[in-house]
Amino acid sequence: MQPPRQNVSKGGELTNYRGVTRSMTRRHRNSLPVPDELAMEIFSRLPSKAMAMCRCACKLWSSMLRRQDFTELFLTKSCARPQLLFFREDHSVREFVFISSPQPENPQENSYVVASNPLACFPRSSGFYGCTNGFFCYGADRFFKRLKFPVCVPVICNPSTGQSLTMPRLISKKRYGVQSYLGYEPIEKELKLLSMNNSLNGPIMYTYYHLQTMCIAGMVGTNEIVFSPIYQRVPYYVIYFNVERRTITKVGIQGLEAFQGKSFKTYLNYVENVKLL
Amino acid sequence: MSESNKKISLISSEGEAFEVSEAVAREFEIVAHMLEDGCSGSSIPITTVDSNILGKVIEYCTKHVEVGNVEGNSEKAEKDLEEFDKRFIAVEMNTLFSLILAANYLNVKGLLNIGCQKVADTIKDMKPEEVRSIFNIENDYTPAEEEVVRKENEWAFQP
Repeated sequence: MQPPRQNVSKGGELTNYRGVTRSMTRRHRNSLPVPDELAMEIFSRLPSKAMAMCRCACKLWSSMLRRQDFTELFLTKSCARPQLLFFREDHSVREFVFISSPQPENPQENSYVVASNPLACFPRSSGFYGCTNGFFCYGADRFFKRLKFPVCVPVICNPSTGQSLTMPRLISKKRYGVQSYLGYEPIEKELKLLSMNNSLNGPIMYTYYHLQTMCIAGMVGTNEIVFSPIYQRVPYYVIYFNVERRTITKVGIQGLEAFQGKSFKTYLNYVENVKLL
Repeated sequence: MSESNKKISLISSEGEAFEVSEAVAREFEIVAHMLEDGCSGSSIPITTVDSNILGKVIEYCTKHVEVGNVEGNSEKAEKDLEEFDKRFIAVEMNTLFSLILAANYLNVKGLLNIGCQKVADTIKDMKPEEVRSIFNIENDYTPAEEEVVRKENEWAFQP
């Protein structure tokens, strides 16, 4: 009988890699004792905080974790398991705090998830413009030469890598009123930022919903609307409303107890992305 | 499954034969494919896996076939299997990597999955120094380079 041939499976969670048992004579001394593809399979299961630690271990690991094939593998896996993201942005703190948890689908009554994945923090500033593909965009005040007052410029940040990038300011006579939108262009795999002048004069209008206690956080799948409390209570929770079955399910969030009484926003379908800017 | 009682011999790299039922051998997807391709031999050489590791992989597959055969797979059986997996994969690092390599070569998805996860779980809460010592990694950053990379990843060091 012939020696077995190697199978390469397609689809599914795991990919089988060819040539695993071939000679590994050319291996780098710092590589894991498995081929790169399997090492990446292992790395892709790490939380982003552990990945940051691994980038500090040695040059080889750092370069592997930066490779495009790795970041794409990680992104594919993240897209398959979107998360709930909680960010604290109240005015009493100097930083945006991000923590994520698994995102349940069709949850059972009295179930809960644990927000146990702490992500990077960023200096708090004038507000969030949006999130796409793991990247957030917020406005930050920056001083420029010859300008007396600070100008609000868009900053792109990634809570999974801790990186942030200040974008060019929109040349405008107005100090306020520039609104930015972040989008992702999947063909070229590029982030796109649109900044435009608000037609209103004067400061941006902020809308506060003091009277409401819940707001719509978004949708999970095609038939579940998720509501989250505007002010955090302990224990924190979100409400799933299934439009098909007309059921309301409360899902507890554990792990935010340290932030008792603080205001969190809940962001749905957060996809971690470890692509470095 | 008329041939479910058929026995197949898997031959390790040392030439040792392990006789298993066809159902267990089929857990090795690589073997299952060979059987489907019409290979009719009753002994299959697994030349790249040694006896120790092959024995362990067979133990893993045997357990999973046994539990899979139980009628009306109960919650308890699933829990037991989870417990078994946990105990099975609690081995020292070298053995763990050998199991991963074997599972990948033989295409035993469940084992590959728990093996990779076990390594990731080991690394998960470690500082760079601990990662270096457990995987025998040489720190090839110069002090200046290390300072830069630490600075870039500073957020992860905060409690």
